[in-house]
Amino acid sequence: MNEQLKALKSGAEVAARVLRSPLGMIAGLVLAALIVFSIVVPAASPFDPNTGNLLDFLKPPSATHLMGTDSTGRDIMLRMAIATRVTLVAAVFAVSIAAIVGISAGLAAGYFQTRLASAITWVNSLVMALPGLVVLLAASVVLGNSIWMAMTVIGLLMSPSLFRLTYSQVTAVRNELYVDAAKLFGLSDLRIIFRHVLSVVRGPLIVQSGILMAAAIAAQGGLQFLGLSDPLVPNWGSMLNEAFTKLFTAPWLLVWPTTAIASASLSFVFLSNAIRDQLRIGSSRRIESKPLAAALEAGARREAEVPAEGWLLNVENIDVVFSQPDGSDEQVVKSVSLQIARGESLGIVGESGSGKTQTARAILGLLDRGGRVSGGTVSFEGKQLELNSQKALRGIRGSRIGYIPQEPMSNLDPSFTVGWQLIEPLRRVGGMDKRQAEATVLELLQRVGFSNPARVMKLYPHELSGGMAQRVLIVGAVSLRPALIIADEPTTALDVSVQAEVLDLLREIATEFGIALLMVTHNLGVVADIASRVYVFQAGQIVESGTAIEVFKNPKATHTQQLLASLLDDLPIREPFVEEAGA
Amino acid sequence: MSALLEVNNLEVSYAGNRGGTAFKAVDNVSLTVRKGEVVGLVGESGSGKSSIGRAIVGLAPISAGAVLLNGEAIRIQRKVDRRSLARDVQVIFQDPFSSLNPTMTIEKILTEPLRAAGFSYLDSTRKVRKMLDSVGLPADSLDRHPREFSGGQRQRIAIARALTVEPKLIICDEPVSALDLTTQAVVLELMLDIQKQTGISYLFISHDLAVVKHVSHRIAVMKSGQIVEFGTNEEVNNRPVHEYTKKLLLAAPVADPVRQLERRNQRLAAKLASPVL
Repeated sequence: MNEQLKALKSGAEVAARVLRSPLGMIAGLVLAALIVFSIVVPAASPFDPNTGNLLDFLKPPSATHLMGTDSTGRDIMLRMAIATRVTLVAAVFAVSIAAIVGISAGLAAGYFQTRLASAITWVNSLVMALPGLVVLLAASVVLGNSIWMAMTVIGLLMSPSLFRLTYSQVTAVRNELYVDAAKLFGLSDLRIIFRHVLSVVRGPLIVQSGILMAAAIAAQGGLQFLGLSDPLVPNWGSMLNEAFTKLFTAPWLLVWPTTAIASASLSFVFLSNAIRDQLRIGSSRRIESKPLAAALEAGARREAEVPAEGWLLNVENIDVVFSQPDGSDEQVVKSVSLQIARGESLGIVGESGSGKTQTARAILGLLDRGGRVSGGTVSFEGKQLELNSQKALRGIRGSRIGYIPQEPMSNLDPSFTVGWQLIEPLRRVGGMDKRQAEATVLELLQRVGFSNPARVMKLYPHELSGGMAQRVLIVGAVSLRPALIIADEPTTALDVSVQAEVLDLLREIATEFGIALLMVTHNLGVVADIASRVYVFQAGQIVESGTAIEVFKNPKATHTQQLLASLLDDLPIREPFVEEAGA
Repeated sequence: MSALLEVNNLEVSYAGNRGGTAFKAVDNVSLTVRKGEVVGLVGESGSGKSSIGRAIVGLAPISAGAVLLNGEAIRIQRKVDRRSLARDVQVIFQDPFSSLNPTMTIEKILTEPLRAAGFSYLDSTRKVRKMLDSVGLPADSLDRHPREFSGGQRQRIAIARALTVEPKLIICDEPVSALDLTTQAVVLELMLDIQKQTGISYLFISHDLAVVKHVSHRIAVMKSGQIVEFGTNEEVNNRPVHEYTKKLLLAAPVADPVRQLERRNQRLAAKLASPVL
């Protein structure tokens, strides 16, 4: 099979899938019916659209006039058919103009990002600022009542909406690595734009075009309703106008144009949605196989002894599920139990998708949308937590359980200074006055290694490096003297040397203030560095737990052994290079 | 000895914002990669290691110095030049999620460099089918889209894409950093196998010394845009000269609580001895 044939085939496949989806099928059928109606009726009708029989005026639907007659006795069905044809062609024409102007300008401006781009953006903003209706009225006065003229103006007025969409999408796509890769293969800019950029941004553009089709139909109807149209060409707007004036004598007149306008507009919007959905290519199911559940049994569980004053945090058999779009639930954490004593540091380790982060977030009540705890209990400082109640958890989060996230930057508000963000919780939650809070923060900033804490307080987040931002967040987590800090991959985004310093700091602070630490990480080295006990996660379950020394020295679960075997630390150094003979 | 790739006194600067001072990402860097050799380039974020890789293929501006391939200066101005460069030098990027166009099938992704290099559609697909096997992807992958693959599988696709045109040099920019630990090891072994079998050269860029030392013959350590140490793998790992290299070697925690404690104490002792670093 050659390339073109394949492309053709995939196009036909998309069309077939669109028509098979319920919404796409209904919208497609309605549009097809309108098109057939607009072609067949004028060809078959014995009447003339503009000459009426004055004896036959305002007749309700009958065998001769299936949709009745209007006030001058003209056949409404024939006039509707011609109006449909004109409206659809005109709408396509307007949207094509908007698409040609808007999308090409958007692609050029977004991809090249030169001075030309600023000029194009400026012109577009100008067009957007124009009052559409006034321009249309002015244009129809100056240029006459031609529908094509009106549609050209409407198309141009609509082009900014496609331009802005294309521009923002392209700006996001142009820095993707695959665009870089395409450049490296020596593809021309034009090819990159069509092949790599346009194919990615087409989804939203198709939806927007459908909406614009509806808008173009509405705009036409509006102009025609106001009488700004060629009186010799039947159209929906003027028919609607007539229907309004005869509302009490011939109410059926209203039925035809309103049905046509509504069904055509809705169909375009629905059809474009259906096409977009089908273009979201490929299924989301992964080919890779899930790790075998049997391997999970291999790990021997070893509970630590219950401390005399009870566990600080006791998680028993919690399940976390995420509801899927199809209504089912996907379980990401399966009956997980773990315990932390006061002042202890604990490591939760696992690969991505193993449920380690979701477990930590469930304890904090920070699960993403659709996620909830569906079973099990968590007690903290002897009291049971209501895990699905934000209100109950808010009293504990921050004040009793601190949180250090993976991405320090995204957890600082860019519009407030570091000082403000650190002082505010101390005043609101900790009940300190401003002076006290400031003194506490200054002291802690110094403690985490800032030599000039007063200056750091005045900085905005973007002025901090990743390591500095993480130190600031550590201060935030510690400042209310919580009993427990949950740190979710706190050093993953950092360089190794900064990571070492942050780990040192966390260890010192936790010891100094007697804070228990729950460290979630994929990095076995980090666990070995900081945790005294370890839980190993796989596929939502704990497969092994024990003291760090035990787990690393004598791993029992297959998965732990696998993880340790995959470590790159102890791989052999590569043998020296030997130049090939004759090279 | 003639080198395959020769980077001489390279300088890469990015223009500052609105007339601000330019930022020098790479400052007077020289290195060579011989035919069949793997040179590791290690450093922390912002050290300029990625900029070197990007400059070699023309994705970053060269403000001074030269990049020679087979003794000739690389040219990237004209499309023809870029195409011929693409046949010799390919890149594997760090992020397998953003380096593959999500709307294209694997077949399109893999044949694209071949088609750009002038191969016919039939030749391209034939080569690509063979390539799938050698990177360990199932044969029915061709009609699928990137989202159907896991991170490790995507990186295999990216490796296959780089290999199809049979380049002489592949610039590997953090190729395993975004992958899970178990996947990381497997993909790294794959890259190493391919290198040993085909005798291709790698410029292997990574922040992770453990990764670099496993695949590289020679290692260059970068800091603030400069190479602070460049030697054989064994020299850099076992007898580091520069303080920064020593610090880097001790910084990454190892997965052994007892040994890690020793290393930590060593590191803290070194920190006390030279507080500037």
